[in-house]
Amino acid sequence: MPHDNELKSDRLPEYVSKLSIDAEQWAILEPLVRSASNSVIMLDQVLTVETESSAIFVLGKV
Amino acid sequence: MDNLYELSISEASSLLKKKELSPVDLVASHLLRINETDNRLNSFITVLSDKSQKDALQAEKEILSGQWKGNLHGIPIGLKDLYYTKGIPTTVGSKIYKDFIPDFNATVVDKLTEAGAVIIGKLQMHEFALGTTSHNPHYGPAKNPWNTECVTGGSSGGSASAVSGGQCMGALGSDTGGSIRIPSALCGIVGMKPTFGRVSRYGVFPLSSSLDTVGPMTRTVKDNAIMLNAIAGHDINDSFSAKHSLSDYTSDIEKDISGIKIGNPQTYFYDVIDKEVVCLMEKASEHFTDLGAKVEPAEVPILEHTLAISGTILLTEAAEIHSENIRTKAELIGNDVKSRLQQGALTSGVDYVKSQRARTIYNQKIDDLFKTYDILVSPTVATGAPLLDDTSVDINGVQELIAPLMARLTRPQNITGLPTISLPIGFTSKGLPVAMQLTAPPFQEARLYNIANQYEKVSTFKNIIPSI
Repeated sequence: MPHDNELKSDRLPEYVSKLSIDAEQWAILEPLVRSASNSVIMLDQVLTVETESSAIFVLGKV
Repeated sequence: MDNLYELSISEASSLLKKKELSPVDLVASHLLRINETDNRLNSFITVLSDKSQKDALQAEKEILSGQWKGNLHGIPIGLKDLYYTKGIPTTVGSKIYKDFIPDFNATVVDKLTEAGAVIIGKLQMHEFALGTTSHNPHYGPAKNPWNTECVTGGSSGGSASAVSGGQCMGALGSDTGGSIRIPSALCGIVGMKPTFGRVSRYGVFPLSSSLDTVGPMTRTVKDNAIMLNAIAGHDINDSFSAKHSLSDYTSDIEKDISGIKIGNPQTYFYDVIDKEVVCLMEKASEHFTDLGAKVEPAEVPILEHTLAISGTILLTEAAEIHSENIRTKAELIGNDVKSRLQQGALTSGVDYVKSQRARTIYNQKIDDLFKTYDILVSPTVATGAPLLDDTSVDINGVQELIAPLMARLTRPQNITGLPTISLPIGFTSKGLPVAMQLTAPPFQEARLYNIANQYEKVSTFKNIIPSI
């Protein structure tokens, strides 16, 4: 994973948010998390450095 | 009339106002209907039998003494079981909150009560509102009145089955990724996701703070407008509540819609969809043309990224809300919901911010579309209701997983926060309802009710209660 949590498929993520996830559950989760993160990477196609980062502060307000 | 539960809200209200119908009889008819059908529908988590009869008696006294409060006075309404109700259990569809009894009412519950509505019970839902089937491991699945072997859709599945099955005249649901519109579509009723901020969420158990909306579910468009009239408005207790001026949502519903321009996005909405739904959408377009509207193919940019945007935002915000539950009570959460929450907890901050930035771009693109079109039309769900035990469904020869398929067409409207109404357009060859959704610019719910009502008048699908 290229992002801050640095998840690795051979290492259980007990250190993330104090979550306790066993190996069986991690086998379910790992592909979901990886697939979701890959989908977000695709957003780079529409995002540019000029995109207004302050958008975060208007969270969906219309 | 023998079966009072078959009346629409507007029909019953007219009789109540003229003192030709008693709220006591109306509520009794619905309680009897619940008693006769809920073993097959499983719509309710809590039936407020004694309280609703007492409130109906009070409504009768008020109406008889000339204190008619309006169109919801004496009308039995159900609440998805995530609305705080003072002194009444509010489970959020979970085992964790099975004994939770709020000490105050949600703002919208107070508003409904002030309007004279009779709260008849608390309704089934997907656990924590985080799922699209209402297949609840703790309280059993809500079942579709059109075929009790099929799902209702979710997460407001009990609200949809209760309204569709004649167990209450209207209900409140909540919509974060389609949870009002999906079950409304699969159960053949009308569901409104209002503009983000139009209706207070104070006292509504949250799922995703920047996506959650609450709204009405009814059997007719006019009934839906009547309910929104009662619950819309600014609330100082909800920091996202909008101060935008209010409309009477019933006042324009008879207006002629000739000349309006309807954008019909082609890509994405029709990429993974049952042919029967496509056929019904084409017929719906013909109805609009007959009404004098102009329906044109529309190009919606970056729609293909909306699942990534909404999924990341929704699950991350949900994981924050349930952070304590997934750390300390995970064994009490159903497997599907637990996995989604844990996935949200493992999402990086970078991905969350990136999704919010992409959301802003998408919203700007949609704003631009409304310079050309008055509203947008699209199918609500790509198929009729799947069977309860199925995990995938056949779409034109390809097996598609049900969970992502259900919300595929509804999530884009939560990203924008735009008002969107879902209404029935016909049936599949298996006799299951199919629906379309109409989306308007912010705070134009009145326009949506106008257009939806004109459509409903020329369609054959209005206030139909299936035999159960």
